[in-house]
Amino acid sequence: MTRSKLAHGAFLLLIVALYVFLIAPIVIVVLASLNSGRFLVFPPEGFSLQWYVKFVNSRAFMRSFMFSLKLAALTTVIASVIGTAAALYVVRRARQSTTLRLLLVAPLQLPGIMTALALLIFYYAVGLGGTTYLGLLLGHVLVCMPYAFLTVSAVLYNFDRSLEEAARSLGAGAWRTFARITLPLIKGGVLSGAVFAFITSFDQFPISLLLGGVGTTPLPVQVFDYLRFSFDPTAAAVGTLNIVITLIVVIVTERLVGLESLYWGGQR
Amino acid sequence: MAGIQLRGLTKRFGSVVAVDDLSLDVADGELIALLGPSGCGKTTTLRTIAGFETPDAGEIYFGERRVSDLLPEQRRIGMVFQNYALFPHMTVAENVAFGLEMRKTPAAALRERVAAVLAKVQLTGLEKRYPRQLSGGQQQRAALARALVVSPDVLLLDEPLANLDAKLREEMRFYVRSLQQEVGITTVYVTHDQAEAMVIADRIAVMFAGRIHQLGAPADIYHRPATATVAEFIGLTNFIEGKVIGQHGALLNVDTSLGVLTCQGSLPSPDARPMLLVAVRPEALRLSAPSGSPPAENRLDGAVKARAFLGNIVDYRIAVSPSVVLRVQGAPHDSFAVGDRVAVTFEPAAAWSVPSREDTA
Repeated sequence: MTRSKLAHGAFLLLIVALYVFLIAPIVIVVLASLNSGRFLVFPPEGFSLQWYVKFVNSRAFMRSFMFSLKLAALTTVIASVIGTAAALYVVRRARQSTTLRLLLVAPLQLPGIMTALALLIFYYAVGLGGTTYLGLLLGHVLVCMPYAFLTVSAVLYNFDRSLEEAARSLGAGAWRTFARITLPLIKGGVLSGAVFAFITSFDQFPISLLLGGVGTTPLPVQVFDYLRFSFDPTAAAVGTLNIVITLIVVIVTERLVGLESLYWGGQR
Repeated sequence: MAGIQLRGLTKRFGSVVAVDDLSLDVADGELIALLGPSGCGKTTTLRTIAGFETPDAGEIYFGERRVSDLLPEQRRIGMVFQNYALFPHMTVAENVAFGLEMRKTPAAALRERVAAVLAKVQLTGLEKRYPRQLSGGQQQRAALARALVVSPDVLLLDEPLANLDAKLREEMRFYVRSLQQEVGITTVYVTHDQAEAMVIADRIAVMFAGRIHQLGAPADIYHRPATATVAEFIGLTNFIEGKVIGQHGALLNVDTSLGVLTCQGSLPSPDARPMLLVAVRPEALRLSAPSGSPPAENRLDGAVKARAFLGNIVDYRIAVSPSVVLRVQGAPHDSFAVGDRVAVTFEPAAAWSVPSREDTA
């Protein structure tokens, strides 16, 4: 009795410790951003929103912020379309092809900085140059696409294809069948993949560091540059904003489709 | 409305021939059941008619219209799937309306036709439900409504009752049959359940290994099976092997290890082996107490080896020789105990001859 109680207590303690370990940094960043002191320290020295004001008033930060949002949005759209198309092909036409599947998720397994370096060398080799917007966008799409591919694949594996055949038998052509039957039923997977893609792009550092240039500096790189010269809580304010945006994206998606639809794929 | 003609249909999957040079004519308004064990090619045949599989050879006509090269959505078919394939993200009404929408039916006519077909399948009042909120039988009827509302040229049913429980399945057989006759639509019905095929079909095509072994009315298939395989698949059959020694009109005399038996049948062609099988259904055999009278025609003497009471019938196993055991099914009132000596008799008209297995293999 006491033994199992002890084990239960120890397990509970472990869970609590894990959550503290996960959440504490977030709490510290949020608290530090509200610091009225002049340096990025913990515990904060008083309450103030001045660092948010400083962020909003900083042209460089705002420009990077808007740039990152747009880049993430465009990346998400492209990565979702390619990832969904790839998932459709792999699950339905090339289920046996392990090679193709591995290649598609390879960007997840490689260190980001290696991918970035390889891309940089590749861009020079094909004459695209080092730091173009197109190059940066391609890099982001490359590392975000696997998320879309994986979540859509997960939904497609359980997809009942007789639903599509039923639509065809009722007179719907291939595209209309996709738009009216397939897409609505896999949208949970598509949107979950889009959320992962958006967050991955918005928080992307190594790709942006090597492929971003003057005027095309995403927010994480801007923060990194800023911290090299000044150590005030503006960075914490940016970090908090990042967390809030991520949370909003997740909550909106949850409300729209329900993340559980990822598991049952919109089916019975 | 139109009939269906299949001409030399062949479909291979790799080295497996799923449908082997199959030809079939379904008359206008007729319901043909494709009956056979799993893997016999019946579903592949149906999917080829629907356009979901492309045949390697052969042609398909709906009436005068050649459809073999058309896409499924161009063929004007109605199809019901084994799992119903109702769209889970649409209500019953939206499911049924889908085909009409694809045909650009005006809104008023669409509503009217959806309401009419739902009334016909007794789903009025459930329009707003989602498929998962319906019982199995209701889903089945919704799937039928969705297929019929577009007034297709042909109706294709792929084991539509297989997912229902036994009692409901039996009711639905009659329901599907009366609905089909009411609409008068040419129908191909795939099933592995012989009782279902018997109840529902005008004619049954019994399929094995991609070929139709026999095509005929249910009673023909049952009473005059063309091959031993068909006889075995449809109901229970006793086989006794023998050699033809004479012919009297429509009757053959067959010399078997149990003596000379008389049965219906035609002489094997001269180049075929003279061996054949006498096939007798268990219910065509009659048991009586052995009497001293001289052996009558088609009389075998034996002993009851086993007996099973099944309620409406009693199922006996009668050993008529050391190597031959016959299945006999009789009414519960003739009661013989295990070990009793009995005489087994049957009418020549109730027995049929089929080629022995080596010839049909």
